[in-house]
Amino acid sequence: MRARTSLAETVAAGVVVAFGLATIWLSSDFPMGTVTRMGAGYVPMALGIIITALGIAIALFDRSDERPRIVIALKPFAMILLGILLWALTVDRLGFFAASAILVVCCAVVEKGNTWRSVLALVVFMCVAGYLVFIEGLGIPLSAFGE
Amino acid sequence: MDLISGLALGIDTAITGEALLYCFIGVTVGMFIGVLPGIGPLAAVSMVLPITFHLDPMSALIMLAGIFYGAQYGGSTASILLNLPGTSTTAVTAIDGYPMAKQGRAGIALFITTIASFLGGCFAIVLLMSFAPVLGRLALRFSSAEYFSIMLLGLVAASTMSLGSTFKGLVSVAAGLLISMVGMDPTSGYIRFTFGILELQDGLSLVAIAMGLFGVAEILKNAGSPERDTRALQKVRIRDLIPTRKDMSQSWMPILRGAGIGSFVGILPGAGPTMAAFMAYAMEKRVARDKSRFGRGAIEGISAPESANNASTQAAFIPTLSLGIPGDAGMAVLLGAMMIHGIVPRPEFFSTNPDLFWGLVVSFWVGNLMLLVLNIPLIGVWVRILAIPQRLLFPAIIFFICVGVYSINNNPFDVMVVIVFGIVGYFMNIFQYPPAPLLMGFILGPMMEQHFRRALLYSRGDLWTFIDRPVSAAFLACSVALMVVVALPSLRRRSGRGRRAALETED
Repeated sequence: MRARTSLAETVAAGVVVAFGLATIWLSSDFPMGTVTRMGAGYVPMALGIIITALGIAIALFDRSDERPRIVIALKPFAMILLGILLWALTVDRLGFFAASAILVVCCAVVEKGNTWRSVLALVVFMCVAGYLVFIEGLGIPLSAFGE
Repeated sequence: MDLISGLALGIDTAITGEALLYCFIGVTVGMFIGVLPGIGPLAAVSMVLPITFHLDPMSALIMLAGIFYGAQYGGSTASILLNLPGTSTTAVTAIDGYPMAKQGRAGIALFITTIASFLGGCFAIVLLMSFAPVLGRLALRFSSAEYFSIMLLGLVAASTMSLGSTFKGLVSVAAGLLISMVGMDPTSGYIRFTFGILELQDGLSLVAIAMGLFGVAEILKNAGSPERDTRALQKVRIRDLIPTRKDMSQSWMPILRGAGIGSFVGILPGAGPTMAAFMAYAMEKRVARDKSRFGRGAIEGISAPESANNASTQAAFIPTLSLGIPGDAGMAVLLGAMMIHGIVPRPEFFSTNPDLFWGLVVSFWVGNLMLLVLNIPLIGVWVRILAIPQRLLFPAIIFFICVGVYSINNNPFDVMVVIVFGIVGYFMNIFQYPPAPLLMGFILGPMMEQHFRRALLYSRGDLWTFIDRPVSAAFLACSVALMVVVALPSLRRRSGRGRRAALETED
């Protein structure tokens, strides 16, 4: 996936501005206080204004020497994040071994050169090593096989 | 406490079976992480952080610090053998180290970089021992205004001296400060930016953010890419290591100059070992009689930067321990780790926790010595680590990140935070917003906000308090000067080439 770099960079600066504006909007609900006795909203509001201003400055003035090349490898990106998400969602219910197997498989299939044998070996190795280090060694309250 | 009794106390604390074991584990993990390209010491420290919660503060600190300087030793291995920096701080070592390897002098290059790292480290530890307590005594007179100003200087330095655009660095710092405010405001008890999520009331977890920005983001960037070519890896035997007399005599001065530059850069807030290495390399090129040798295997081109990056890593402990101001993102994580253990470094640190300070100093000596001993006879083992394929390594790292983050609070919520910051870090990398300043902002944020509010409370809302106090004014003037100097486009363009090469990973 390729995008026209200058446009994409402006969009990125736009995200920064949006982030700043959202901060201003959210912190306007907080008590401001006075300069002497600042409320909880004073510093966040100031930061929101600074971020918005910097975002605008980047969009208008920033001319970096090198245009970034924007190439997103979509499949590895999606699969790894999916793996982490599934681990977080299932670890309490399915248990440490099942969740970890899902995670390792998700991350391993996107790498070139992995066979089902090497993935299986990695799954077994990580489960055993993880079990010994974290559950046996550090006593983290995770059940191996879920409820 | 004077130097001698301090050292005696340090030897008492750091030369125990337990402390030595954790020092050994720390430097070995650091070395290992340093050798592997694609994962830096920051991610490594955050991965080990949950484990250290189960240790006493002294062992935890010794181990975490060991990872940092251990990585400086290991990083050069990949630079020299594969022309790939093991960590960003050793990127510059590849310029002359890889040509040396192609000439069949890889063993000598590895030997010299180890010696250079060792000597650079020693130089900076001597500085640390002599200056940190003095600096701490000076800082005893600091009030909130000074603290706010020096933290501001640290953050401005971190964002302007980091690579790429100044504006983007500043956005990163501001975002970090803002993110640190999620949760309960310590002054008023008001709940900020939690969106009704209960888990956010205590704020975001430092470990989750660091692992997302530096661990997951880095892997997302490299996942699915072709395996690196390890066929070019040469076998390195011990007898290949011995340098000629000419190699040694050509290296002494560059090592010394590198140690000086590295220590100076390390003490500056915000400038990390990557910058130290680049400056040392540029210096050698300038003083060399025959500039054409650089890039073709000049030994000065590896000895000076390697000495500088390790010196800088050690010297960065000076502001971190004496003022509580981290010199770079790595030190910021270490500072965060100390606070998790209930130790807040500040000027009183030297009188309240002398055992911790001196124990750490002695552990640096021990650790550097261990690295020297580990590195040279075991060079063959480290070279073989480079051959671990990423198709096995990446899933393993992601797995350890997940379990490690989970184990902080035994809550899957922190793992979700990792996903969010992994995505954020990935896009920050693409659009060249440096992630390290964000982490520094996150860690300094709560302290800065409190000092800012307290300073204005004392001055009854008079903003001039930051300028009326001369020390505070000096820090502010430095911050402004930095911004002006770096914003001058002519200066930026000149250093543009070196910066880009180091842009790859964290500092």
